[in-house]
Amino acid sequence: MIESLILQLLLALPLVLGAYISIVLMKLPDLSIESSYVFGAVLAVSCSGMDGMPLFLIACIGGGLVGLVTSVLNQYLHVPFLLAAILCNGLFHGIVQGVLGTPLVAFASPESSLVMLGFSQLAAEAGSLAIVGSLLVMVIALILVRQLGYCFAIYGNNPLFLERYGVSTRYVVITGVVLADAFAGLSGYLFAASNGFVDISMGYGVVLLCLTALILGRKMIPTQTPTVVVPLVGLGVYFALQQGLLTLGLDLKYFNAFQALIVLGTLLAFYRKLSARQKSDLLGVSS
Amino acid sequence: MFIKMKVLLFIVSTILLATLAGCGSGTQSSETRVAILMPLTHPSFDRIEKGFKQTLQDSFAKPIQFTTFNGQGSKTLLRSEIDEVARQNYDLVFTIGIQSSCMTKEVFQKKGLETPIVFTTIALPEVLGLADRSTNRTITGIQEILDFETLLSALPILNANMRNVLLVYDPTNFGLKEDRETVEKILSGMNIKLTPVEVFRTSEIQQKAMSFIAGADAVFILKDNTVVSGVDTLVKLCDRAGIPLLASDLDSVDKGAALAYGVNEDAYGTEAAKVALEILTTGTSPEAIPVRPLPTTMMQFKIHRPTLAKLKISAEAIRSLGVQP
Repeated sequence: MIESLILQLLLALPLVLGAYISIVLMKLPDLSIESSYVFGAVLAVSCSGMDGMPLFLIACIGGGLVGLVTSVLNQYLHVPFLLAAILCNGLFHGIVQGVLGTPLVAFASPESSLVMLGFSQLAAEAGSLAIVGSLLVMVIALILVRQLGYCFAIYGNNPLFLERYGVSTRYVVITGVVLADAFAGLSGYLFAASNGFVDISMGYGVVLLCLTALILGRKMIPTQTPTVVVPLVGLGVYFALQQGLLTLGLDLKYFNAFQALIVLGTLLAFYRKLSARQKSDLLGVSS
Repeated sequence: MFIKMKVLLFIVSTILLATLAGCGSGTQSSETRVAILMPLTHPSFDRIEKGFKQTLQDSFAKPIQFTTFNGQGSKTLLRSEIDEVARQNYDLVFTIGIQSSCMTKEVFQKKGLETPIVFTTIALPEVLGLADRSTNRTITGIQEILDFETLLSALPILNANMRNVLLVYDPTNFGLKEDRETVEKILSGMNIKLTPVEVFRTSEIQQKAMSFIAGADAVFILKDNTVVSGVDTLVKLCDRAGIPLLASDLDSVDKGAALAYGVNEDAYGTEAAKVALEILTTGTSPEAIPVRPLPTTMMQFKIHRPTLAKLKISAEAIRSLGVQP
């Protein structure tokens, strides 16, 4: 059971890391992660002649492209971000169908090179995911302690600050959203590769997953400093809760409702009246 | 706030402990345990599940415990459920639909599990890699059958001057594009034009179909989750236009479609149960049981008498379909 939990955590890790940047740090309603999750997977699967690292990069490029369209609509055409994300979802829904040609494509899961080292297929998959996950965590941790990471957090709190100090908010937004969606695209590909098929509806529910995990993470790690620990802990708790509910035999007809109640319960458990100077972010977590 | 944090931590720890307590190689029981996996909630899936459970319970000598897992439309949840099914060491896994079947096969193969898997209602298992006996030793199942030739042969009976048929369908459903091409070919052989209308949500049916219904002599729908969910809308539109609605699933007739040709959804469950029975009673490997379609003898016409009466279809015409008027 632990192995299943870890595997699922590793599959969703890039997605939540990306959502942490755009939704938590930059406080943007980045609903386009749903499309980038699917498009990254679809683009990588369409290039099935290659394998290994190039496919990871293609998945990131696919996801990043979705983020680029959303952020360009917002920054250059001044479309409100939420609307830009929704428009992007609609646009890429059609593009995905065009690229895939059919609603669902089944394929043999790519074999991890770790199989050659004598590991079983499952262990090799977990190992590959662990390597990818570790690299991403290191990249994000590095970004968060650099100027770019601080710019993401500052933009989320006060975009005017960046303007006053001559930092291009366009650059910050576009970079942040592209990075976030690129990670979502990678996560989509990893999920499709692990399950042996990609279908156009696989993005359903990923936004709720991200929001729940990030709310849990933010509440459990109440820090103002950008840190990679928040999405890690949030994701771990999310899947532990999910696994716990499955093990306890909860009627899964009510799972989505239960998930929403967990979020509500977490927010209420830590509710406190905010002073005039305080405000809560998109996730309902006070800053 | 520190106290509240402790409360939350306590709750989470309790759940984690409960989870760990549930860990292990799965429960041992004298009952035969069967897991049923479906990707989402749908009336057809419920009927298939019912047919499967009923048949197995009636025919299997030992007591059977069924556990149903529903993905609620979320692939992440479905994957968690499949991992849980794998952990619990069921005697057999019954999967309904494409996503649950493909995912289960993939996960079980990776884990090296030999648990037999029986799938149902998959139209093109060979395209999905489920029919190949050499690579799928633990999975077999029932293929969905469709007979558009017989269904569409009813068109001239309903209207001798049939010239234009409207096909309302969701191209994002797996296999429907191929079905549309098949239907188009059959109709062109009958000198009938097919006008396809693509809808992506149930809520789009009225808006899109209304524009085209004026020039149509009949409306045709495939076995399509999106459109079948909104069949009431099409029934109303066809009623207003005075044209028949033909469906590929029998349940649409209960909602007012004039005519359908297909099988009862329970039959998919029943036939899958027969395969499961063979595996559980005789220990036959799924590898030895080829993927098979439902017997064509199970297909039947079903009519909606009030609608046909409104369309002034004669009793002889109805009898020629092999149905009592």
